[in-house]
Amino acid sequence: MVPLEAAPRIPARFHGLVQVLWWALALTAFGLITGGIPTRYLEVQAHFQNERSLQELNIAPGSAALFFLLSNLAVVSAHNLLAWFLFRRRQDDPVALFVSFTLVSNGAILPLSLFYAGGAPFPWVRLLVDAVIYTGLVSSVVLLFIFPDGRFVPRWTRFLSVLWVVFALAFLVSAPGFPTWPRALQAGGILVMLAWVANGVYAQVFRYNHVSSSVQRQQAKWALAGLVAAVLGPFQYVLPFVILPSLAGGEVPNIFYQRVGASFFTYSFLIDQSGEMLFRFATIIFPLSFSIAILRYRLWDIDILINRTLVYGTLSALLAGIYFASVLLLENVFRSISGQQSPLAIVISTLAIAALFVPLRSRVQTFIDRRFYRDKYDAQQTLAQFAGIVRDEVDVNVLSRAILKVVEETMHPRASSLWLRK
Amino acid sequence: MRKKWFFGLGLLAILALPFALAYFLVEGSLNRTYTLPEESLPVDGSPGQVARGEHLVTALLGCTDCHGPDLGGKMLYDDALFGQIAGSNLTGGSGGVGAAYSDLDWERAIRHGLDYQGDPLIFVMASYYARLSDDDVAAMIAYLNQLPLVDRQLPATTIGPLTRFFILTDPALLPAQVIDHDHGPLEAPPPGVTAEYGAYLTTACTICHGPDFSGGLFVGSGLNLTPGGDLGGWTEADFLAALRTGQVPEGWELDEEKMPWKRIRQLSDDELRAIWLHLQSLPAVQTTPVEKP
Repeated sequence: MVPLEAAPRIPARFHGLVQVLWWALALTAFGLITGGIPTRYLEVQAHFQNERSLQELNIAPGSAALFFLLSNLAVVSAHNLLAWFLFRRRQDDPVALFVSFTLVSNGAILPLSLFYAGGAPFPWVRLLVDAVIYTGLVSSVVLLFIFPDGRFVPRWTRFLSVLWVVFALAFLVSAPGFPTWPRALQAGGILVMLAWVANGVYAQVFRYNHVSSSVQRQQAKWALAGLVAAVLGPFQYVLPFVILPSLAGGEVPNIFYQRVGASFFTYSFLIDQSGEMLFRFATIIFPLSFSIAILRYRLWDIDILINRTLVYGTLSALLAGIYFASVLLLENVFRSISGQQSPLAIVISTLAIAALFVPLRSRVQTFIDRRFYRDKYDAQQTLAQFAGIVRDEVDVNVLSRAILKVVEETMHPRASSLWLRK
Repeated sequence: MRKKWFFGLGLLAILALPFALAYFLVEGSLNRTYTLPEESLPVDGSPGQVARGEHLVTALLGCTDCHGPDLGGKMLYDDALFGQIAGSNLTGGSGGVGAAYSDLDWERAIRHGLDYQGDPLIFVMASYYARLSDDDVAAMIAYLNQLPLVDRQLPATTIGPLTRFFILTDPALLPAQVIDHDHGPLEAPPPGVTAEYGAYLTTACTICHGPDFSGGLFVGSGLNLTPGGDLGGWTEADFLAALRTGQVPEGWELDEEKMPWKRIRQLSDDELRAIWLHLQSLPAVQTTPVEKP
């Protein structure tokens, strides 16, 4: 474990106070979420009662409601668990504590704004809900300006932070009216949020290029990975307002439903729900990456993760594109020949994808390594050439020179020599 | 560096390929030009014709389901990936198509699935209404021409990228593609309590009950109306009572959302009897009986 560079420690006499504050926030957030579950369960179940797509899929409304609530709880639990772990391990580190507080409140934004969108049973509950959401909104954006050493870099981000504190409060106060805002105003609000997050990303990139030490750069890589999810963080608060109108939307007339066909509406439903689920779980990247950045960044090689993500992300996208194009094209060809649909299009496309997987993976891997990991790629090439020499060469002098060359090219030592026992 | 750009562009091209294909194939269908026969319909706007048109539009054919009770239009579906689908405002009010449509335009929309510019209409019921008689279409037009104006602006129907894939797999979603446009004058069977007239009246019923009336495929689709189906033990009186009151002989109530009996009950006794006769004349199709939909 490596301590954060240049981060001042919290004196031991304040540890008790910090613990009280942390537990107060964590228990409040968790209590509010669990308290809102029964009402939310009934709401979601009632909404799904007449959802024909679920009936087409033979899924009971109660099961669907339970699934969505459990997914919310899973995300909250992941945030809280990581926050607790961070808190336990780094009570004297102000930045780690700030991240921990951020994770607790950030993880609660979506469930709280969903569970209490219809109102709170008591005004004090509403106040607590707003307080937790506000803490999450403010801290998750400010974190981008101060991570990992606790200083505002660039310096002007402190003014942005102050403005964000005000803006977030204004947004929170006016949020209940958000669905009725004119489209332009809604878009403006979202753009402002986006601008702050973009500044956070810029601040991290700036810090990486101009300020960070080598340790902080490794941390910044993890932090930047988490930014993908952090961007989504503040938007979680807007999301329910985007989702809820469709939840409350009227039913499609049966004659239209039957005319267009169930698959249209079922696919639409599934894509909407999958997108929402993906969004929900993507937010876990945020706590995960920041926790790793602080605690464990040396244990996992982020370069390998990034490399694999690039390779398999590109590969999946390529294969999906080829598959859909091939199905479309072949189906049209078969239809124009035989006048009807043929399963052959899907069979041929699937076989083509299976045959393409290995060669395409290899090519994508080579391309990514050559473009983004030049050193490793050159080293691999050198080793491959050396393997060829070893296979064919029997002269010890030639082999010795080849070994020294490989060592120099792959490890770049200041000096190298080879000692052979006669 | 150039290779990197080529790779990126190649990746983008492959990703965009299915969408580009779907886009251009569907655009081809949307931009297809249809040559329609010259038709003249006997639209006179007489009270009798308007009344018949109202009966067809509001009771028999279910136009109000998608175009709203005042036929001033309503939003049917709104999804970023699937598009915005609106039942048009059919009146001559602001945002309505009524003022722009001539009698011939109405006929093209109803029976050919084309708008007044000759472009195919999406998701409309034209394939079911294509065999309506000239007199009945004229009556519908006479009724539509005198609708009270409703000022309602609705977004134009747009198809999202994923809807294009559905249109490619089911060409009937663009009805103009599957309609026989060169049909000549069409006449309805003589009105009366006959199975033949009943068959004519039940054109729109096949949307939910299936082409052979043995029930649809999807949740909320209609019952099996053939003699071997869910009406096996019913009498003509039971059938009429079910469509008048919503109560079926088995004791449960028809779901108005799924089976619009409050609309259908406006049909006359003779029309319902003709439909009953038609249903009784259908080949029996055995399906699992529905206890309560």
